[in-house]
Amino acid sequence: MLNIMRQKEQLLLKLKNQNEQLNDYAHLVSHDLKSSLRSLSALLSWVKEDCSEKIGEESICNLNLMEEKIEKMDQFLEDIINYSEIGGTSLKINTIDLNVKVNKIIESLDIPKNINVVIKGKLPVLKADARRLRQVFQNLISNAVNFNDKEVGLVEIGVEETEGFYTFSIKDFGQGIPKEYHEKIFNTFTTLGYHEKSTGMGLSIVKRVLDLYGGEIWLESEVLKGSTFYFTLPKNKANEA
Amino acid sequence: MRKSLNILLVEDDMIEIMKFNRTISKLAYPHNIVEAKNGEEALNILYKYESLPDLILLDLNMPKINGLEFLSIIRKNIQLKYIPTVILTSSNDHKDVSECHQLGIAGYLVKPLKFADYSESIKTVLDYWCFNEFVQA
Repeated sequence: MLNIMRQKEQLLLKLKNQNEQLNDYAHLVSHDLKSSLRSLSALLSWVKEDCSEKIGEESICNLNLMEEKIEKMDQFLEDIINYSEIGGTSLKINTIDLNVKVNKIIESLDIPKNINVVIKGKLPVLKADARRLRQVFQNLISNAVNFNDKEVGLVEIGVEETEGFYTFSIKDFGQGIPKEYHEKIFNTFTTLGYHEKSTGMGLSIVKRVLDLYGGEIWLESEVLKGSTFYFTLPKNKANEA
Repeated sequence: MRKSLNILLVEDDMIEIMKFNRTISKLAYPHNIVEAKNGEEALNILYKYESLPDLILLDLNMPKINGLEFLSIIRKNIQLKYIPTVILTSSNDHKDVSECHQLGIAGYLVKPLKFADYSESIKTVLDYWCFNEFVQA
């Protein structure tokens, strides 16, 4: 019996080490690739600048496409770095006024003018790691904005408080998500392709952060009418401010 | 009064050096650039330099003596420790940022993806330092 326990412990330790190594590896490789992309991007822009008259419209068009691909790849690497960092460092405890924080996040996102993002009611003040919490809100809000397919878009952020936890909701009135994708979208690299800049990492980052806090995430959605993402953050003595 | 700067650029990547030089060449004001390919080369230059640079632009990820090591060495050196040093890197790693600030830096630039944005941020940094008084003349 004791022997089995010990074996289990060793196995867990080994897994943990391997996981950390994988994370470090992803982190390192992504950084190196990001540097190379910077070089490529610069060289490309010089070719465009120096030779635009010589190479003709069609080639300029192709160079522009290359530029877009480079941008997407850069975003992709950034997401991988973000994902691999979660859980790698210990969580900080900051006191966060979500009313201020969420407004700041909204301002920092490049939201099209025809989409209105509103906070309904008053959000709580809680204790959590500010960077991690930002990733959750930022990814869910920018998803909601990207889902929009109406002329005038609306995104509503709300919260309900119960004894054990806060339940936050991010509601959009966009194109909605078919039922068969409701679970799949939380997997890494899954994208529904609604937005050309989508890397399929956003929701897996959100889920990974929430896992750290023992929170849950789910959605209700109707095709063409919109989606609401709900997530919980458990209240405990540590995060009640 | 605007003055032209003596800049030590510590960078190992050839294309990064090209990016910097291309940016500088389009400025209205001339600056004097000395290049070093890693921390070791930069230290050698500083140790035998007759007049010290006004500003150091420092990459972090380099062979031999990397940016962080270089920074901690010059911050301990009585003659070199006042030279303002601006980090120029592709890493916004939280640990790097905080370690650099602890050692003492005059700025931390994360290289933007696009060359136009990169040029703009280099130009802004140099424009600022042009108007500064330095400890060493």
